Amino acid sequence: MKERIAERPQASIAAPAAKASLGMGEVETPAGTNDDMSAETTPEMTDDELVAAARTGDESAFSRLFERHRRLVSRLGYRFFPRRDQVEEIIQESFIKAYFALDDYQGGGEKSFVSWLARIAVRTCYDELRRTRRRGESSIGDLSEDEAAYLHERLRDLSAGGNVEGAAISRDLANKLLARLRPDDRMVLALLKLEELSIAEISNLTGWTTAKVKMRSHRAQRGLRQLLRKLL
Amino acid sequence: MLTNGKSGKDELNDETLNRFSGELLRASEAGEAEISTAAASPFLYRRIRVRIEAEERRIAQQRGAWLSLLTGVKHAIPALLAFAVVAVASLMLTPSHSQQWPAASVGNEEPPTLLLDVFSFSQDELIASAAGVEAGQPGNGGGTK
Repeated sequence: MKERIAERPQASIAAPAAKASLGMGEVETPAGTNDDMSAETTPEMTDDELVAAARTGDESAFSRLFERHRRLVSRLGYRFFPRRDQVEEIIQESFIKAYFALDDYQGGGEKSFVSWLARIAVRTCYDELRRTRRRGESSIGDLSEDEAAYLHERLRDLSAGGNVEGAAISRDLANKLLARLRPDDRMVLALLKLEELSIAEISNLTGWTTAKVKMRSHRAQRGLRQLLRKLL
Repeated sequence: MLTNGKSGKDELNDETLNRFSGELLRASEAGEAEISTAAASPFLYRRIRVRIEAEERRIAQQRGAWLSLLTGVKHAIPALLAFAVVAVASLMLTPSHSQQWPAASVGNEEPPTLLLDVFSFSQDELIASAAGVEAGQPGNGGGTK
């Protein structure tokens, strides 16, 4: 995943290669677009060229950008949200924000479209995490007695010297536990542990200072340990 | 290195908890199939386009509202300017009370009240009074005695 968010040279993001890397096969053509758009925008166009075309009002250029990068946004969305409808909302929101911010995209070199879009997607996820928490949608974070007992048993196995694989837990349960973390803590943990990004990269993605990211990282890990300790 | 005692137990616990935290995070990851399915959701792009168009319409309406306001203001400028000119002109042409007072008071100035008695004497009486001679009827004590 790291390579997807990290900067890539524009030449390597040519459509066929990108399509192959996305691994989405025939589902790549977005619904609502037609084939004649390929006549307007050739498959070899780079992201920067497509952005330039989209800025002039070329709708098919923006749909090509969507095709190329929707999977990246989907993956990022699933880092923070377990439900498909939530992830779809993140994809929509991210691309809408990207569309209206196309004029701000500078392109080229380090500021590739992928990292620019990833930044928008991560911030959209963060906003949505905060909104969800404010709305009090914490029911997903509430563990049933059975689930708590199950987790307790797994943790005891693990502390008794059991291997990690043996203590496998369900995704649903993991999401319920992680939903108890603060949005910014969860954000940093996911980017640090799952995306394996560096502090500097997280700082770049979130717009936070490196000191703040470090602090959040320590706090998040401590918070998660405390959460698990309660279950022991 | 783990040691006996409370700190060692805590260290062990932290280590275990860190391992479990890692597993928890990995367990929360979605599968590739799920990621692809959400990304390839039907009509996703169509929905994005619809929302973009709605947002563009909203922005255009907002801009339109501002433009109509500015146009209204633009039409009102001559009227406001004329009103301002009339107001300034009327202010300049009408003499104010503060300017009237000094001019009016110069001509109608009355002597101070304390000098009323002095001015009620005639000039002869004053001269006689100064010379110590009574100029009027004898026995009249109007002068200095």
